[in-house]
Amino acid sequence: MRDALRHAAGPVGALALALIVSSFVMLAFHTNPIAAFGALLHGAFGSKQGSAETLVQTTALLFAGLGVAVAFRAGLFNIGAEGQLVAGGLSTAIAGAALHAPAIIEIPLCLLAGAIGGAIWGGIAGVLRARFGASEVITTIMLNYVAFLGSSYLVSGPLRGDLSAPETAPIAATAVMAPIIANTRLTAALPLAILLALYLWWWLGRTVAGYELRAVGKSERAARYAGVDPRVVIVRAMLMSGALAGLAGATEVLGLLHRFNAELSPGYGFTSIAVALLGATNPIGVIFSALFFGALQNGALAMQSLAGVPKDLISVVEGLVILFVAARKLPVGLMLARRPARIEGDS
Amino acid sequence: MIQSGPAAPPPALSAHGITKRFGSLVANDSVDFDVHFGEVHALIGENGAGKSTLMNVLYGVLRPDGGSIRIEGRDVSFASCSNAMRAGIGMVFQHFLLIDRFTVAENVLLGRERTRGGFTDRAAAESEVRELAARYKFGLDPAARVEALNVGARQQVELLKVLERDARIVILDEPTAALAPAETAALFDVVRRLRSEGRAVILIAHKLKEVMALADRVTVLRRGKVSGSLPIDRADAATLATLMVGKVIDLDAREPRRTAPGDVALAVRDLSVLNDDRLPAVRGVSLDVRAGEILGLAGVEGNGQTEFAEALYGLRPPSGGSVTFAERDVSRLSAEARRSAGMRYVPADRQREGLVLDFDTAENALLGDQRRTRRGMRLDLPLGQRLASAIDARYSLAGFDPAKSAVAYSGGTQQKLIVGREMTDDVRMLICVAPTRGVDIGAAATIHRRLRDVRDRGASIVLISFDLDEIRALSDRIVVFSEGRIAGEFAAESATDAQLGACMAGVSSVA
Repeated sequence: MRDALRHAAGPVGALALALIVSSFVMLAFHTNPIAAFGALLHGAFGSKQGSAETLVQTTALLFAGLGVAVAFRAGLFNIGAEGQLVAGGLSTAIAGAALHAPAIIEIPLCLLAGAIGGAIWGGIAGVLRARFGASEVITTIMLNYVAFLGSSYLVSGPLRGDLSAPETAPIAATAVMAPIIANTRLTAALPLAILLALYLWWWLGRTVAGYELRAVGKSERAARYAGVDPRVVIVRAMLMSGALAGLAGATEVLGLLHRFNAELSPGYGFTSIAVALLGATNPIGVIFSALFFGALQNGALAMQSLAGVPKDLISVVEGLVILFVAARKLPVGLMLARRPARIEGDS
Repeated sequence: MIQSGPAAPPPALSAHGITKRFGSLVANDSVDFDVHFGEVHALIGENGAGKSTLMNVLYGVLRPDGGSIRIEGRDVSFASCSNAMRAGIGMVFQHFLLIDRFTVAENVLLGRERTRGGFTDRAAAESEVRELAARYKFGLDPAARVEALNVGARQQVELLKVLERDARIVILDEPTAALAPAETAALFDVVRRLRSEGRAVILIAHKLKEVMALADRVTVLRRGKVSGSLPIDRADAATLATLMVGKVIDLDAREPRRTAPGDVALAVRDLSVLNDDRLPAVRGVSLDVRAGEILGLAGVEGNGQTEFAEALYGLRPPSGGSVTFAERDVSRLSAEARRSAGMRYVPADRQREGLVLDFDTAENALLGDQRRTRRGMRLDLPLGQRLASAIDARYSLAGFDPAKSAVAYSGGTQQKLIVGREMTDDVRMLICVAPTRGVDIGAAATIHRRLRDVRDRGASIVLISFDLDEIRALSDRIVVFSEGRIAGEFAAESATDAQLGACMAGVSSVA
């Protein structure tokens, strides 16, 4: 427990600093930060609909954030969650339109299709890294473009299901994930994502495969010494990472859009990088940071209409969080995370 | 500046009643220590005795909880090491603090760059550093990048950093831990030179022989307290060892074997291995190791021993030849497969290879055995905790806690953790690189005893060490490596330092 608090101290401190600095930005715009954050909070949690919508956003961020986090643990910087999300969403939309099975079979199959689509997209970067040493940062960014433009071509041409708009044909009725709370858009995807987060937490910390993944992330040489082939682990980590991001796209399609089109993601895949960082790449931490960013994004509209603060300011908050988390070695780090290590022992 | 004259000058540096706690651990318990100009004062003690803590206090890295420090009789208090530097203290750490991609001159003058018209003046910097290096007979090229230098040369760069600031008080933290014999001799000359220049030298050391050869005075720390301080002419190795561990230890003594070697277990034939730059590092080596035999592999560091060890363990594919273990060709097997066959390995680089520094102690105790001991898909963490505790029981890890990250231990303690993990009862083939490097004398004795014990149980051991005394004390046979080839083979009882040294230097290969 004390350990958990200690691990949480860094991200929470970064968060606090980000909020303080953005308050000053608001003051510079002659708005009252307290009123603005109050409006944001109201928008995010003030009503049943509002809360549910926050959780809807949380769900996508959680899936994708877990994906980015697992790659981080293997020492990989997966910038391509957005592209993997698109690949997963498209795969699910194709499967959902093509298959006509009872929901109990159809939905899992469609989710699987999304996971596989995302896994392939992530796996490409993994293989390029493991086989040729190509930096996954570069390849995942480029694969994002391939996914955006490729899917846009497909829904405008070969896969166009409706002549009025560039989108795929709607998925079968049995593929639709229905809301679990009436009059909201919240589906079973959220509990599924939380279960996955818990499983991933257990998997990373308690299984041999998770141990080896972390070992590769910390020291490739030590992993090799321990009989681990880092190439295998890198490909596996990118497959997992892509599959998780793909599930974000899959659940969006099955629960919200019921087809694939350009509205699939408002940039969940990019925000998920901040989610993973703020969650300190710990799956449990990612649950909380996904909720935080979900509330931020969902509350932004209310903040704009009620407090007159442009909702783009939320991007500033996001950017500041990343900045302060990444700069943990700077003043926050010194205040919160003084490490007695190295000196404690003696030689 | 050099103090002389009838009245006894105050010590260059004196510390009184230094106390430093880390939580409940008292790392220094009212320690008194001083050093005079023109003197080498050695500080010895086991891993965890508090040597580094004391030095970190003197160097301003740590603030003491009690006690006072004086420099030439004046009270000082350091808020950081830059204060200590300004007061004339320089320290060469055990783990070098150099920027690999910078040149020698850039590293030496880091933070004090020579400039001309707002630009760095490369020529002036290099000639200045060249001059300084020449004064101490360092064969360093100021324009060479540090990444291209070997350990001995890197240490010289660290020394130059201290000397460039003209530090009057020089702290050397286990300077010989990573050096080859020839480099050690050169370093000794430098230390003597520093003393004759009137500097005060504090030498942290593990090897009593070196202390006896270099120091004027020696202070022994034991469990955070000074257990003895005496001039060197009244000290001998046995007394010092007793002060350090409370009992008599002779590391260099050979012990009679209790069992006879068995059949050949490991057969290496014409093995060739490339290094990271794809250049030949091992060139056609053939040798046999019997069950229950320690083969000592001597040689100057960097003559292919590490690559040889990695090829034996399966981390480096051979470019030619074969390795047969227990009558099975293992040349193409992975490290994991070789581990399952009973091979284990204590690597040279404990920080990056033998441990995952950010993993906790229990996780590190399972490193390499994580698959063999798996329970279904789960990691057997309770086993890891038991193994870690067993290692602690045998080697006493300073500050042991199964949940503590390996990074929080000192270098010697990290080494004990690796050695303890690898020297299991069921090991059949052990490859050991410098197993006691940086380890205190008590633990070194335990490691030596354990190596003999494992050998007597029938394991084959390849012992690669840059410490000739260790090789001679432990080996049944000695093979000397030079430029990736076997330059000579010796019976351990009769080999002399002169013979081995000549062979290592490639002078002759008389067996």
